[in-house]
Amino acid sequence: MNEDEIRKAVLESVKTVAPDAGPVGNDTYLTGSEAVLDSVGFVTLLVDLEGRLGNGVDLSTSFMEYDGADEASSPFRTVDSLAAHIQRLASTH
Amino acid sequence: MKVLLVADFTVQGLGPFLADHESPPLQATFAPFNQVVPVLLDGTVPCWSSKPDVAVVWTKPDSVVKSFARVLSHEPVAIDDLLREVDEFAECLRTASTRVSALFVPTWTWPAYDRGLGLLNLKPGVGPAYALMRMNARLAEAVDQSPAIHLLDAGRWVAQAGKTATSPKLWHLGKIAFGPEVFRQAAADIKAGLRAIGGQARKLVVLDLDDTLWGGIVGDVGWEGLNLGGHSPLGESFVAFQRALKRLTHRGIVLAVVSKNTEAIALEAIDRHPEMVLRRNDFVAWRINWQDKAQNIASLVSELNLGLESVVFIDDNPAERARVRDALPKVLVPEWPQDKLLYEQALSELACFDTATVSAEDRARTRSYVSEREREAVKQSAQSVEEYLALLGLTVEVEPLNKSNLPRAVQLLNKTNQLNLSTRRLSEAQYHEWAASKANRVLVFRVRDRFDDYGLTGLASLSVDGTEARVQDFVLSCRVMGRGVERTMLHAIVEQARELGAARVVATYSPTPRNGPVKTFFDEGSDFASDGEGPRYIWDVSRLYGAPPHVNVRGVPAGQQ
Repeated sequence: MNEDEIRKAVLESVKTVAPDAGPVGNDTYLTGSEAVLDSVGFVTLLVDLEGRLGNGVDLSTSFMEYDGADEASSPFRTVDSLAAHIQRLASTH
Repeated sequence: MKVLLVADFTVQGLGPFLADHESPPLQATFAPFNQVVPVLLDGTVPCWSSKPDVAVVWTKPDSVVKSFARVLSHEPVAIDDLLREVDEFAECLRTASTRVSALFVPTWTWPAYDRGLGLLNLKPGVGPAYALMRMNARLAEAVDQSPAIHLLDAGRWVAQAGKTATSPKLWHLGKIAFGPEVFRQAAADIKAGLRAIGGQARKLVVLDLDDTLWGGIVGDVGWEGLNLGGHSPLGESFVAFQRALKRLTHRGIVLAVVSKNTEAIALEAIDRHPEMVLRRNDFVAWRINWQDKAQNIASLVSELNLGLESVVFIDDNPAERARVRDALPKVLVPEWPQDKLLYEQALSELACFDTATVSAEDRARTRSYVSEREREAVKQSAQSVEEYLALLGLTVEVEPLNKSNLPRAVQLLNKTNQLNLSTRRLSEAQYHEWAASKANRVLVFRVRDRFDDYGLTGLASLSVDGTEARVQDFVLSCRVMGRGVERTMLHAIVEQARELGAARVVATYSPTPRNGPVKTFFDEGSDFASDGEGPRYIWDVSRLYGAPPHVNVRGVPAGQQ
């Protein structure tokens, strides 16, 4: 799965989990004060994405292990950064 | 509309689906996490302060029924203990149901990945699946007489969601019991339930014929050449679709045809094809011609005295669907599968036919419309209106509101738009409470003639304050309008007011976009005096108000008939 396909999966998953989110794009925030998801929605997104992407991408563990020190550079911050993060996880798997 | 979500797991994921565009939009608020029983029992808990209209109480079976947790631990549990705990929970639900107009309770489910005891899963006394089935059945029975409580089939949501329904990861990460697809299904059923309670169910399915009700173009191949029934998958699927439509008629939904065809050829197919499930008398009306379908639907709906918001239009042709959607936006035009083998499934998935009850009147509705056709034939042959009315042999039976007629009375109150004085919408529980007041009286009217028994089709209520009897509800089904039932109802109202010691009867008209006919009746056909305020219509009870001579009235509470 290339990064474009992963990004498409992330966008579909956001729309599934948050049907009231309005327009969702690559720069849409997933965490932080401007996020379209609350914490419950974000957790649901990660598990939903794991189901879409299949075996080998353990997003929820990756999230739990993330120290969250720098929000600006968080791989979970936007649709784009999450897609890139998933690509990295998949390639190291 | 505000909905309070009470759960013993993280239910926030349901909120966005309740807020989506599908009617009615719902604004979710949340009770404190895992405080279900205290919240149900105590109306002073702050989450009730927002005065929610609706509540959803969604629980895990092992947290509400402790004996079920023991079943899961493979301990021996007496079924009576299990069911007693279910009864106790039902009592909590009843307490909370007095605070809202509707309380929805999803049935208990258990994650499908848990094989439980395998072969012993359904064994009485030890099997978790057996215990869960009994618990859900007991809960349904325990709340059956509580009109504000509605069980929802969560098992269907879980089955629809498949493997994504539940996830141990969701649970451990956020105490989230279900995935988003379950929440989406739940929101759709909650909204369908609210539409059902509000009397907004669709009542009429308008059908195309060629490649919708049967396979092929009847004008080209004749009825003998249609693909319908037999042993082909396609022929069988059309029969299955027709059977599914026929089942709808047993719930009070009526069928009609709008088709671009030559009428005689199409009706011949309906009458003569041996595999047709739906015959001419299963359709309350038809427009089979070469005119625009949107115009045909509008004309047909007008003939049936229904509103466009009552209609579902089913057609295999996407261009016809788009045209009707564009011209008649109130008509529901579902996307229809290209694969004809999926027609029955597409119909079964529609959530627009849900009703809170199914009455005898609902089941007989198609017959009523067919009788109307026969009645119209008599009308055409009669020499005068008086002769026609006399030929009908109309009987109206009046009875007080009681437990057995309450569901139909409330259904009538909530579904009737045209002959409805105040158009107030109340749940069964709310109407029962209102009628129980000493100052209030409710009469219901059953109507029949030589062609048909219409059942309970009229409702009138009075609220007496001193010497004034105010008509709160004056509701009559459009199926019996214009035959003297309206005056018969006023006759019963005046007699009832006299019995209660009132000096005058006052009916105040509350206008809506659709209840003009009730004003027309009071203005032109009631003989009540109008004082222009509201407007209000007044009758001095010292004067007799007779029923029309052609109506045989039975059961008027007092006075003379």
